Amino acid sequence: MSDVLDVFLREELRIVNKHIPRKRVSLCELLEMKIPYVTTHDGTLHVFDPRELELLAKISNRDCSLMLPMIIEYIPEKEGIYVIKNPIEAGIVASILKIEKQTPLFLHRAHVLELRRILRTTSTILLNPGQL
Amino acid sequence: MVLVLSISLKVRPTKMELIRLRRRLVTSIRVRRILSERLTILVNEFMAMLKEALVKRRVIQNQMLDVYRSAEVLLGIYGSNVSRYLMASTSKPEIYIATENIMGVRVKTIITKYPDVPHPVGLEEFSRISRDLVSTILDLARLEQSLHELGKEIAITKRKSNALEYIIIPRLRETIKYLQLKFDEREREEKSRFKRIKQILTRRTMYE
Repeated sequence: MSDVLDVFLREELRIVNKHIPRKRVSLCELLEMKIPYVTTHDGTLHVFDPRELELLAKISNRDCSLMLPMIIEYIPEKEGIYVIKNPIEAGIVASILKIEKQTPLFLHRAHVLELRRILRTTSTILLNPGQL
Repeated sequence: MVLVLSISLKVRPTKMELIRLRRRLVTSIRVRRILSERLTILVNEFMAMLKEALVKRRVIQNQMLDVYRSAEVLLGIYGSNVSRYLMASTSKPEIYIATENIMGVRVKTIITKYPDVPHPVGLEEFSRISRDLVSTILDLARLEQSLHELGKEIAITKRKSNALEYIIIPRLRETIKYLQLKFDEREREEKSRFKRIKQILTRRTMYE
């Protein structure tokens, strides 16, 4: 029973972030691809919406250092609080959500929902389990 | 000796087991917190998609009316040959079926790419609004399929989160409590035994 429980808990922590890409791809590379995609940790392909890429290219002035998908990290210690650590991503997100620019950018759940509505395929949420 | 308890787990009453159980409890609490946050995100995404799907349905109705009106005008001008003209002059789009990954939920999506050629002369407006209509219909299809998949994932996550919250964590807490009580009792027994031994030894030395 205990072994099964341990396996279940370990497995849950492993699969909770299976949607995170193995390697992020730059905006410029994605714009040149016929079908813009990345491979996720579970081996599946995640395809980006070309309309979102165009929107990001317009906002960031085709900044090639912008890596996609943008990672929004969940902080387990603070309930309902998320953070964007990358300064480029933080700047873009702040301009989309019309909030003050800062690095790291802390977001409330409502902000994340709004952001996910606009950048459905170009943003992803990382659930950090914290220190185990 | 193995303890079998109805509400707690089957464990050996050892210190090692107590440490292991405490660790497992910490992990379970973290996993439950992560799962409940995932559940919140999934439910919110589901609600947002539901709203978007309703809006898209209304948009489709309006767009269909526009397309019908435009088609009627074209039929009036060009006659029944307009469909053949349209077929001959419009280039075919490239359609790709791919997958999106929303919080670990795989959802099918359709990408349509129209070639960069000008619209047929006289049919610009009709071509433009029909393309918009097709793209909205595809968006709605993606949304409805996502809703279906997200619904399934929400049910699974909710079940896991509830199992942790109402069964596994209380059982672990109960077992830890039981083991602590067991160790306390053992300690008390040990103390009283030592006292008794001390008394016997003191008495023995007195007689000697």
